[in-house]
Amino acid sequence: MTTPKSNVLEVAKLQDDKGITCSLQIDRGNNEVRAIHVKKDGSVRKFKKGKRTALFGAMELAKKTYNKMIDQGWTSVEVNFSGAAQDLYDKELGTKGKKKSPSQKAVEAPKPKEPTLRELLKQTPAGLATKAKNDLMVANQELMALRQKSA
Amino acid sequence: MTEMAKLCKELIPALIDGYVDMPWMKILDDALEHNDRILLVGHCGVGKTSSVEQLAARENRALRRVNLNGQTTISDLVGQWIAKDGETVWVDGILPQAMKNGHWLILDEIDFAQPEVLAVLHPVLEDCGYLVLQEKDGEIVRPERGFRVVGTANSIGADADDRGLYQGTGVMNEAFLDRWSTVVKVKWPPQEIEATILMKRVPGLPASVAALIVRVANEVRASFDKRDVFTTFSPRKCLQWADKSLRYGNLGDAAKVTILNKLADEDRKVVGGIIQRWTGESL
Repeated sequence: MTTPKSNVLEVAKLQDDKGITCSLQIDRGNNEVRAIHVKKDGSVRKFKKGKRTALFGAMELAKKTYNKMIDQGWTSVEVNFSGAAQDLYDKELGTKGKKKSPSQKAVEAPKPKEPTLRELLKQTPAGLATKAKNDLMVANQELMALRQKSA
Repeated sequence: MTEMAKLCKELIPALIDGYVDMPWMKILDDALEHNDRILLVGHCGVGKTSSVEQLAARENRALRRVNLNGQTTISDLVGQWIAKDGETVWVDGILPQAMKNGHWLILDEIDFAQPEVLAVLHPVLEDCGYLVLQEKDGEIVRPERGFRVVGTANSIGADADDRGLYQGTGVMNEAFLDRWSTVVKVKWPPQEIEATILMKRVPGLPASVAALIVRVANEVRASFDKRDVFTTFSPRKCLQWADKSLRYGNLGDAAKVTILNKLADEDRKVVGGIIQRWTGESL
């Protein structure tokens, strides 16, 4: 992985279940905030200038990367935001806006997309059976737990 | 509150939580509004009666329902003289009761009734219909405003199923059929609607399970149309299977008690094969 430049804060670090990581960083050079995406292969991609746009841009990228990993079938993806990034947010943006901080947003990473009913009705018997059996097991356990609670 | 007002209130059906409107309900609603005589024809368990009940519930209408069969007599419908406290008194049957009080009346499974019983309905089903109580010195009963009549049948006779699915049904004659001003052939609901119904009626049921049950039902229905099986798959069966699946946590065990154990051996093999293919469960 490319060594982060000075004045660079790590915003997010994504790690899959095989230990491959990529990170999202903020570069505060020249009184500008610049988001940097260090990819899995170690290459660096810079984007968006400006304080607010860079912070939220980095956040969006973190979310997109997370979704992409999930779509690719990775089951465990950790998202970590450094405390320094939180400090930067609080200092430069936190008091101005009412939006949640990037670290809070990162915790609420979106769940993998569920197929719609229409899509389910088009699935093959084998595919639908596997999903239905798994979903039914979970639903049954929830029902039993609910009954035990109310008993 | 008078006894009759109390009775009327009790006769208003309850709204079903999560009820999903069937595709034919717009026609039914329009026909009821215009005082048409409505005949709903379709397979058992497809939701004919419940659709009328739900419209009555929404409109706050008292609803009477009578199931007709081969043993239903004219007296059951129109009324009879009975001995009470040493006197003979006339007791109205369900038909004049509904007419006099402006209730909605469902005549369920009219294809099972004897022709002479159906003949009593002829004048009631006409425009400006009325009922003659022959046994009560020819008293004429005219319907109060609000009276509506809906018939349900599995077949109209002319297209009666020749597979014996509805044994005991009779062929309705042309004069009787002619009197129904709206006849709706009720079909299976579209897959997406049927799956939605399952999810609403069985809270907690995953969409994937609802989809699977509906797909199985439609495959069995297709086999029925092709005459590979002599049984069909009603939405009622789907609901029973869905409910048990959620409770058991197992599609196969639930299918046995709600579907397969009701079938003759030959049908059981075919339907069991379809269920096995879709669920992957050995049955």
